[in-house]
Amino acid sequence: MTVVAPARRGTSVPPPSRVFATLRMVGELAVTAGLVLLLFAAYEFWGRPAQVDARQHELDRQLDRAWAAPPTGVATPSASAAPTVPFKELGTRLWLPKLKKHWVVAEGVAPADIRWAPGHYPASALPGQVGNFAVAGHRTRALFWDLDKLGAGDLVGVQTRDTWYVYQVRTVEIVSPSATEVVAPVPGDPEATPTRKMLTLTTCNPRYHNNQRLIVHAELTSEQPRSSGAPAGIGA
Amino acid sequence: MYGWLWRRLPFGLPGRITGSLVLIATVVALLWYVVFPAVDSLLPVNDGQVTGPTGTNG
Repeated sequence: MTVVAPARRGTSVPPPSRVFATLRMVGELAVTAGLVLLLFAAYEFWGRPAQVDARQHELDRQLDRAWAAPPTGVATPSASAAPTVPFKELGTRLWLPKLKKHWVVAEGVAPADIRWAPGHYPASALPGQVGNFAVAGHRTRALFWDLDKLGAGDLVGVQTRDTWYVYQVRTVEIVSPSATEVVAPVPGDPEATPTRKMLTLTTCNPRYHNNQRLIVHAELTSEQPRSSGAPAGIGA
Repeated sequence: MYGWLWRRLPFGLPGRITGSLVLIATVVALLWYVVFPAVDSLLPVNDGQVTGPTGTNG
């Protein structure tokens, strides 16, 4: 079906064309919005994990350099290797051999702290201490995506400058986002005095949702000097 | 909108195809490296921490 051209010269756009032009414009905008949303989904799935991996690689090398430097004494000029992005460093690596992953851990669990790394709850214990070494991580493919695959008996390795700590998963639970008792010194009992050396990992559940938290509790089973190499089963 | 853009790209058909690809690549790069990272940090869907009622982390 052909559109009849306007008879008179000088009539720039006849009314029907203007309506169609507007409709076409709206349609184009709607299709564009759909494509942008699809691209954002792709970014969440591939783009951001890749950026987190790249940042982790950078943090890994920074931590290696920091650990290679003399521990005390005169200030070394290696401060020139300042991080490109502010990052509060805990000086710890976390290994999940079951997931074939490891990360440099950040200090703090604010959104800015855990943007590129799992973050240590500042009030919780440090690795190897009596109490609860608690770490939060995003449920993205670069971080705690497959945390639900951990089960009782799986190993969690924690590497500090001097020591390797090996924790063994005891329980996995799903709680509400306000269940702060899971990161208490005695998990589940905020009033109790700790006697055991625990580790707790928290992430959101289900994936890409914010209405639950997936919690993994583990207990220290062994420790050894870092100089004697990676513990069996950690695969570092 | 896109028709208007297409008609204004110079250098005939090859130029229009090249120009379109360059424009698309520019927009995608801007979204991917600037807009999406900024939007992502505003989304709460991936929070991994447990948070007390006062907003402090437990």
